[in-house]
Amino acid sequence: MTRIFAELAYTMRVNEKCDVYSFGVVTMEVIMGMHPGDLISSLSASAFSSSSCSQINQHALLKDVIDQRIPLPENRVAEGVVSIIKIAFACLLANPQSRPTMRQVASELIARWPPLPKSFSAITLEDLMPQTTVRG
Amino acid sequence: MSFLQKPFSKFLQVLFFLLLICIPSFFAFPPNSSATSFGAARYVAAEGNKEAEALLKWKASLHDNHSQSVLSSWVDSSPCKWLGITCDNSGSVADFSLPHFGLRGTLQSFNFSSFPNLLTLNLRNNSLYGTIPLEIGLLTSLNVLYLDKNNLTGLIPSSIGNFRNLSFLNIAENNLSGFVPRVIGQLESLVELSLHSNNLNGSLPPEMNNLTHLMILHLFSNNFTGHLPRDLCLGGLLVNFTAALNHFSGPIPKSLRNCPRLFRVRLERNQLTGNISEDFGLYPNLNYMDLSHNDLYGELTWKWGGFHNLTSLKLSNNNITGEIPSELGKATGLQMIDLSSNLLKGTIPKELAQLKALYDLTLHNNHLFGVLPVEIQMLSQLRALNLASNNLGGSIPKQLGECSNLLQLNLSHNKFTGSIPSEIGFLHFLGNLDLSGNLLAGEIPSQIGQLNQLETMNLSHNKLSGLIPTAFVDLVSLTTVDISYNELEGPIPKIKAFIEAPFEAFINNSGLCGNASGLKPCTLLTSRRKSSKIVILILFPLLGSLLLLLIMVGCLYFHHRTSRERISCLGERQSPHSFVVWGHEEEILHETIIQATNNFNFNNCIGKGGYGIVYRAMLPTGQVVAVKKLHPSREGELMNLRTFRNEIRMLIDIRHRNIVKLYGFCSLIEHSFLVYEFIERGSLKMNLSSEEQAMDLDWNRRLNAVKGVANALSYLHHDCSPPIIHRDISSSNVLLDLEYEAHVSDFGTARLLMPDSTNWTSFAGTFGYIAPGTYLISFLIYVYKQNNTTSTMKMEGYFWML
Repeated sequence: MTRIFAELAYTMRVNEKCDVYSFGVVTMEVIMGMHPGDLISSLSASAFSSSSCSQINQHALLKDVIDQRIPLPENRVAEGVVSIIKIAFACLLANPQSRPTMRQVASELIARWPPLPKSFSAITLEDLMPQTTVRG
Repeated sequence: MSFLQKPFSKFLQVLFFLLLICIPSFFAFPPNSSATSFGAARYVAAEGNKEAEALLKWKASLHDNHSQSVLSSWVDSSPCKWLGITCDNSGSVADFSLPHFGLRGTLQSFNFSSFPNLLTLNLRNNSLYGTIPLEIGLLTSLNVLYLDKNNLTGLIPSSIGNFRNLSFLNIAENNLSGFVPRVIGQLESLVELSLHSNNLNGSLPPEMNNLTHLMILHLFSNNFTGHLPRDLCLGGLLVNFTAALNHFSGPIPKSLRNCPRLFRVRLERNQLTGNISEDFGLYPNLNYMDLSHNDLYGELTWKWGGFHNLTSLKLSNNNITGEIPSELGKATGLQMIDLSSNLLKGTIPKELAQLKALYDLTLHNNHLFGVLPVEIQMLSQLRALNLASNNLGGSIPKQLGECSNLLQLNLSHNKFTGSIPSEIGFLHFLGNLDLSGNLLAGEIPSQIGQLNQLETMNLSHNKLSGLIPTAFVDLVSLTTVDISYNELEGPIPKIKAFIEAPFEAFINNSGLCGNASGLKPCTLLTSRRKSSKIVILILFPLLGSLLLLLIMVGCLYFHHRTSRERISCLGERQSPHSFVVWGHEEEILHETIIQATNNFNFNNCIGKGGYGIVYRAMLPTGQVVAVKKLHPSREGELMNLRTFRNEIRMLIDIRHRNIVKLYGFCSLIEHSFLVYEFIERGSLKMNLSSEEQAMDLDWNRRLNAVKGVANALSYLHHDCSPPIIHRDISSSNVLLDLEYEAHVSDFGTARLLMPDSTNWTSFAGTFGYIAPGTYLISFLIYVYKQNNTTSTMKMEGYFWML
């Protein structure tokens, strides 16, 4: 219960950051082709998700998680996919204060994608996790 | 040998003169100091008096107060200390320089004979008028004569032939007329001769060939005819040479071929002839060359690798043949290339991409063929690209989108095929886009709607088909548009440039409609054809908004049941039973909506939600809207009607390309409905769940959809006042239009429900999209309002989550 109340402490007020979170979910849904469901709970270190800690391995390869119905993205598009997932993960952080604002997100999306750190098929989900770690 | 030594001696002479100017006090001989020789002193005093007298006389001839105040230091009889006067070591006036002082007057009362030792006369940039007196030739020692930038008229006096020592002659930017006198050939020491921007005419005298020490020769903007002097660079010293904007004819001067110091050459707009590959040499210092609008021919076979400093090369409107040499890519300083309107053939060499500083590449009106090299993307500084009227083919490379500084892009009148690359939408600064007269097919990419600085757009005379992207409403800067001679159909965007465009801008298409001149209003037929092509669905499960409407209906019913009056509809304009669909002049009665949905006939149903059914409604104007009819109210909470109206009005006012527009709301006892913009492809959720549609959603479209949602939310959060929190973002509430552009729907409905949007008592949201903490809050509310059935769905989710 204490963890629940800790969570409550910073979500007492419904604010823009709730939309940011939902945006993260929708973004992942677009990339994965389905609702991210368990993937999100495995990403969030929140009071809720930690209990339902998922089976999805964070070392899973990105290429296996994205929508398999269309060909793997290439070149700049691949950079875009990677960048967008990074942004989505930041939006899904359990602590609302750690999530970016939508203005930050929108401007990130306008900016030029950074080049891939390694080949697309070698990127794991862990590579895309935000640096900020949130403790429940 | 002699001509090599001579310039050097001239140079010393000039240097000496400069020293005279810079250290006047060193040379000056104060008239009141004790002279070593009484005789010399008396001579100097006599000279000084004579000079002072002449200067004071000239001063007296200047009638305006400004000139008098400038010359207020001209009072006693010792001119060496007067403003603008410098004496030599014998006490005689050597330098009379008053440039940029606004002096107004003539030179007629200036007694030139009083200044036998004058070396410099510099009165540039004043307001002198009248003629240059013949007596100026009495200044026989003169080295520098600057009278430019005045209002002098009349002829160049032939007495200038007396200036045997003159090095610098600048009488440009006056209104001088007539011929250049033959005696100019006697000024063999001339280093600078600037005659530009006058009304001089006639041929230049052949005696000008004697001026072999010239470093600067400016003849531009006169009415000169005849040939250019053949030997003007015989000494090899010429640095700046301009003869532009005259009527010179005949050959390029032979001596220019060996003229290694050339820095700037402007010969444009004459009738010069010659073979460009033979008449010019190698110019390692050349910075700017403009030979355009002449009759030059030949090929561009110069040793371009040797043109290290060339920034601008303008050879347009000549008869240059051959190909653009790939070696041109070695002149790496080039910033501007204009080879337009010549007879060039061949392809555009990809080596031009090495010109990293290039900001203007103009090659239009030649016979170039082949493709536009993808290497074009390397030209990140490019501001203007004009390849119009060639025979270029293939598709327009999407890499063009990398030239993100482009302001002008003209690829018109070529043979480009394929579709317009959506990457054109990356050219955020683009002001002019002309792709007319090609073979471009397919749909116009909606990304062009991102070009909010675009002022002119010409896509005419192609094979473009489909609808004009709805995103074009964001082309806020557009003033001129032409989309004629394509296969476009459907409504034109409701922006000024389209609505006010002449009919010719739309002719010969497959079925454009809208309220622009000459176009028919959008008809049923057009829209049906459109609808047959695509899956039409609107999604809407909007827990919050519907609940709100139910509450409202209940509230309104409660409020009005005694009066038995119908409740007026809400829209942009307020009048009973009607509302205004934005962009349409006429008001639309609620009966119209009922008719348009065939009295909410099942056949018009395009979606169903827990709290309402969505119908597709074709208005008499041809516009298609989505009408969400609410279920009859089961329960309601009292709500202030005025507050509600204000909220609706605020939501109607919100316009963003990524937000579904709410046109209006109508609440009657028997019917209550919301009228929304119709978004063709339905929800993201639906598109993703269908195998076929998901495959159409390629990565680019998906990234773009995400961007659209982000833009919509950024707008609601940060650009609306007060900020609007959506609270129910889900893939069901993100709709896709024909161009796969995302539109967020049901924004602000939660806000309507609960005006205090930061209150914790929120219960909007869809399970699976709500931030972790919010579930708990929902749960608490659920516990608190156990009977509120609207929370059930979320609560199921909550338990599932646990």
